[in-house]
Amino acid sequence: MVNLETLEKVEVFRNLDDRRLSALSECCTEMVVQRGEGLFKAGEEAGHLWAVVEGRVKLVAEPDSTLQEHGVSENQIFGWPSLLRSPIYRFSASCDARSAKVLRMDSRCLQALFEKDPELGYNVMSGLLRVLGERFHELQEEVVKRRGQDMMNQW
Amino acid sequence: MAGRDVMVKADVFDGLEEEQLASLREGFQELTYRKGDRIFREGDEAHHLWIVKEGQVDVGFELPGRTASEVHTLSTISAGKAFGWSSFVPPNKYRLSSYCSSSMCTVLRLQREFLLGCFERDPALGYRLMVNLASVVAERFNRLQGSATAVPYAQVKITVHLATCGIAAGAREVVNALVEEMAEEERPHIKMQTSGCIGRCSTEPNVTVQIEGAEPVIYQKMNGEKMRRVFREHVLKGVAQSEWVLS
Repeated sequence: MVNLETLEKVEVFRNLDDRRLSALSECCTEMVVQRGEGLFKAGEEAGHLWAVVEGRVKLVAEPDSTLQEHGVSENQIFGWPSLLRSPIYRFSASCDARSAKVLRMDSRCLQALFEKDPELGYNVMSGLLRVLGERFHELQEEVVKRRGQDMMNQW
Repeated sequence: MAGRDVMVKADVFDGLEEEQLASLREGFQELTYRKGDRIFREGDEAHHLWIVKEGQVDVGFELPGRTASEVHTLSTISAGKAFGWSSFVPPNKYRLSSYCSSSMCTVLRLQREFLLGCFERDPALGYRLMVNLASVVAERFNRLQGSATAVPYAQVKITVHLATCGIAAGAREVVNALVEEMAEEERPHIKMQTSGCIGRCSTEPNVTVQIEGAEPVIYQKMNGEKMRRVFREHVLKGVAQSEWVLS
């Protein structure tokens, strides 16, 4: 169980009341990891949603490509496949600071809560869609920029 | 109003109860477009979530002074798939334009405000639909990332040689496998065509893979399974399958 002040800062849990935060906290544990230490690997079954409390986490799909690497900062979530239809991690996650404190949230526990309280599920999943959409847009901007440059170069 | 069968097949409605499908059905508008028609434009207010009922829609970006063409396409949306999810992501503006890319397209659209009203009345519907929509976006995220890094933006032409000898040797099976793989991947930069015999009847069915900037590779004695591997390994990842290459 983690304290509610930590939880309410997480980007998908903002604006939730204490009763719901308290229920969510039952699904969470806090962990401290050191630089380079791995949290999960791409291809593994996604059993947890994660959030950074302090420090920074790096997500990598394949080495040697800037498009395949993302940084996750404080209060941001990662490991979103854990709550989706194909629960397989697509990236490997590791600590990218001297140390990082992270929240590890059991996806089955979260999903059971959401089934019991669909309004909570709707709020959290709407937040997750927003986060995912924003990150998709960032990736899309990068791809469009690169492709646009490629096309301009061909003119 | 949308038919039940269309809704059941749509990825965003996966797992919904009959009553929930019925409540959504009231809000659908059905629209028809011809090839090249723009459905919405980058920067427009995103008031609707869209679903392809029939045909194919390309989603991509525009360059000043250029007409719509597949060159700009980032993803191709086929029947049963949703697009326009920016209607649920602030600032609720479409970030790309969409065009009908088949001879005709029939699309369904649902107003965001209508959906929000449904979710307020039935949060379980909202929860399920958000899971589905987030799953769609996650899948496209992975696909976009893959297409941006594996064989970047290369135009690919796959030719299945379909003369009588090729057909007799099983080229139809090869075509079917290829069509299935292409439908699965939704990559507009990969084109398939058929052509005649290359004069090597004993090595049929033959398939030529031509990736922009590389020498064409001719494969021999292909079947459905080999075609699938060539597609996944050579076309998508750039690794030619040398054991089947015609010397």
